[in-house]
Amino acid sequence: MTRYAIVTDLDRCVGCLACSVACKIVNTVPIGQFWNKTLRIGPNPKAEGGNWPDIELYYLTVQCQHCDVPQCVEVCPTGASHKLSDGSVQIDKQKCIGCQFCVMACPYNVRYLNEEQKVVEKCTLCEQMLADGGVPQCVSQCGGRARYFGDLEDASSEVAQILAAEDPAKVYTLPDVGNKPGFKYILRNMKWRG
Amino acid sequence: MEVQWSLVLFTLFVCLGAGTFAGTGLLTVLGKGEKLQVPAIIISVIAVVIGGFASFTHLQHWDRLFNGFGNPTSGITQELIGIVVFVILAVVFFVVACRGKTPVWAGVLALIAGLGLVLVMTQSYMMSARPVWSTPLLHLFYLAQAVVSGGAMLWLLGIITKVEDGAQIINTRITALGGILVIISLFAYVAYVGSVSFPTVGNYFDPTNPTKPMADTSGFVGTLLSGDLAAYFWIAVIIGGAVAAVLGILQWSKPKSTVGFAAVALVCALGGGIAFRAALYLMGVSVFAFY
Repeated sequence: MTRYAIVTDLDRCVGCLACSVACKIVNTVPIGQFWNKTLRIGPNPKAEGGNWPDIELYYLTVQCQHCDVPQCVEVCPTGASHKLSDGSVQIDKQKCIGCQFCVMACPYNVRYLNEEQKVVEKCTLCEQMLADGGVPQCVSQCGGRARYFGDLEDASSEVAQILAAEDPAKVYTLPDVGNKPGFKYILRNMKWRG
Repeated sequence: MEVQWSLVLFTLFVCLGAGTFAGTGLLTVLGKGEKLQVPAIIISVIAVVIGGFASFTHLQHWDRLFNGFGNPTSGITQELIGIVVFVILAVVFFVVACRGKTPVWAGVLALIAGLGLVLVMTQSYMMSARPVWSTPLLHLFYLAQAVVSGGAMLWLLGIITKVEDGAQIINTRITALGGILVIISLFAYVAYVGSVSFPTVGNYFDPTNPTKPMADTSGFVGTLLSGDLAAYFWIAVIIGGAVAAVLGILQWSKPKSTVGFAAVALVCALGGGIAFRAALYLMGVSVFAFY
């Protein structure tokens, strides 16, 4: 079974926001909305009570995590939000009634109502590009070469090999409330803060 | 998150209708209030239907409602099924009540249907992504709301229909107990909200929204009791709970009471219910509140 995901090496992310901007352009994301945000986590003290220069920060790219147990799919009354066999979570806009229960059910706040179309939107993993054999725009445009895309279930894929070579204690996900987020983050020399 | 007024009215009217139906069922089981059964059933169905229409106003594309509607794991689907079953049972009760003395089984059915609809409705808000909502205390609050508003509605209908078989004593007591239950559920909610912990990331910054302050997920208890949300909370406690309870207690053993007491109790129950529902949305922060 295929399970497409993005692995982000946060030690390589420089916070250039190229992923966020590229995503907006290629997916025509409305002004004020984002399918992919780059948050700066920090500066935080390395140890309790610490002060400059003993501080650290990293950049965290946040978008739909294409969860293994997507709560948005569970609550959708029409099946507009659905999980494909490739593991990605998609929205059929023709079926969306705009009830926004999926927005409430998403732990990461990454869904929003498109005020013009009156339907909910979020990251699609650039499915139009996947269909052409490409990768999501946020991956191809990453200035720090920090993002990798592929099938987690395929041992020969780049993402599977990167994760296999990594210390499992340095691989993280966003908070899991039973939804089993699909994306992975690698952070080696700093404290993961979520 | 912002207050979703459509859903506030939906849950308010469903609680009112379901509470009225359940209360009618209880009176039937106890062999009281035969004169107010038919108007009570009509009012309860009207209330639930108004609630249903209120929820429609939340939809952006209700014209697509039947374009694949029916995912069984969806709370909205379950609510719709619950409302349809409720209305069918109300019609059955209505027909039976119109034919003469209503049997006890119909009363038991009404009691189960009323309370069951409230539980089904509440279940759709059990979202692990919104820890403040995801607690059985939300079921308790909505049940308490159904009891106090349903009791007050029956009390008012009892005065209008001039029932004289002791039903009003039960109605005033349902209202009083419902008000007390509302107060208990609200303070239990304060204790629960204080125990909810959210993931924190320390300092953070969103470069796409540079003037937005960092999300503060701590101190909801302080907020509810004395902070930003205190007005909503205390309106719910004092007006929605205490006033309704005191009015019910004042008429505890009086088979006849003035219409003013019942009307004020009903308005207070609904007003307090609106206030805390609004607060529930305002504190309905998601687990990862930094996006």
